[in-house]
Amino acid sequence: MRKTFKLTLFANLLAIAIILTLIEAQINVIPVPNAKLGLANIMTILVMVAFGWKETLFFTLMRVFLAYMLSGRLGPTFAMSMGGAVLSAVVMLLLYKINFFGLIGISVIGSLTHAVGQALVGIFVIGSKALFAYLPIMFFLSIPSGFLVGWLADKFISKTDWFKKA
Amino acid sequence: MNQKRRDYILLGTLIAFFGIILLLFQIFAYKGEAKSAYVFFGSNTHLIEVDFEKREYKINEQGLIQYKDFFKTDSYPIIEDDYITLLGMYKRDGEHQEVVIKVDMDKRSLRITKEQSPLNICSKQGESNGRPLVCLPNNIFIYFDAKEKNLEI
Repeated sequence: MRKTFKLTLFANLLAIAIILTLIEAQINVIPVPNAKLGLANIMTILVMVAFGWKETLFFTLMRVFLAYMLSGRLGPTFAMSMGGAVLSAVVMLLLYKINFFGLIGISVIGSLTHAVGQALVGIFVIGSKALFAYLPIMFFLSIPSGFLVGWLADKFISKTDWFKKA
Repeated sequence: MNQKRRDYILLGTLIAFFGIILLLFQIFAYKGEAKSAYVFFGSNTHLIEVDFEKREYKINEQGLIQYKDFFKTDSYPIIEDDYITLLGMYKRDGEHQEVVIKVDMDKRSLRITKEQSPLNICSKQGESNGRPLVCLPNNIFIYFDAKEKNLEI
């Protein structure tokens, strides 16, 4: 892949991920407080496939950080999102390396670990047991949303030739 | 192709596993009538205890000192006709906004009826007689005492 193409692709995916996060923050698809589909994760998967692990981690940090900077709501939820996003990115990268599951499986586990990471950080920063009440529903909902994300990413990759060879 | 099959097996297993957990949780957690509910500002000490048995409100002195210290006000919280009004963390036009909680002593339930927050998630949580009500933007939490016992099972 040419250097300029790589740079442009990365920047564009990052921009799309941030926009998706901001749009999703405004519409409540899932009737649970602060729950989102996590469509921005499609972009993380695309970066993971097209680039390496360094770029993926950088991408994850940047997308959460920039989205929160733009939404102007730095608070406990920022730390929670960051924790979830980083943990899920690391787990997805490992799974991608092992190459046992396809993108859908990777995405589902990634989505689940996102919820786990969020909960762990949440218990730490909010220091509240109330979070436990939301864990079962959060974990359960993360599975279909992870499936949707993985399926979309899979479809996208098979439809374009951008991701053939990094 | 093999990978796809593994993906779907994984998906099915996870859905079944977490579905059962969710189902069990919905059935067994937060049942039973709470003796009292606690309104927290922040997570350290509660501010108000709603005693359903004696049908009265108890203000926690320590919580009140912290609360007044934070908002620099003496006029909140207001408890009147089973409505609790207090200031929340969320600011609109530079002012902290009111949060109104309705108490139903007969049903032993609380509900956040009025609040200001970006998506009004706090009031959308509806009425509760066991499930904690969480209002992150306003830093207000409501717990019921029945909760702890059930969660330890």
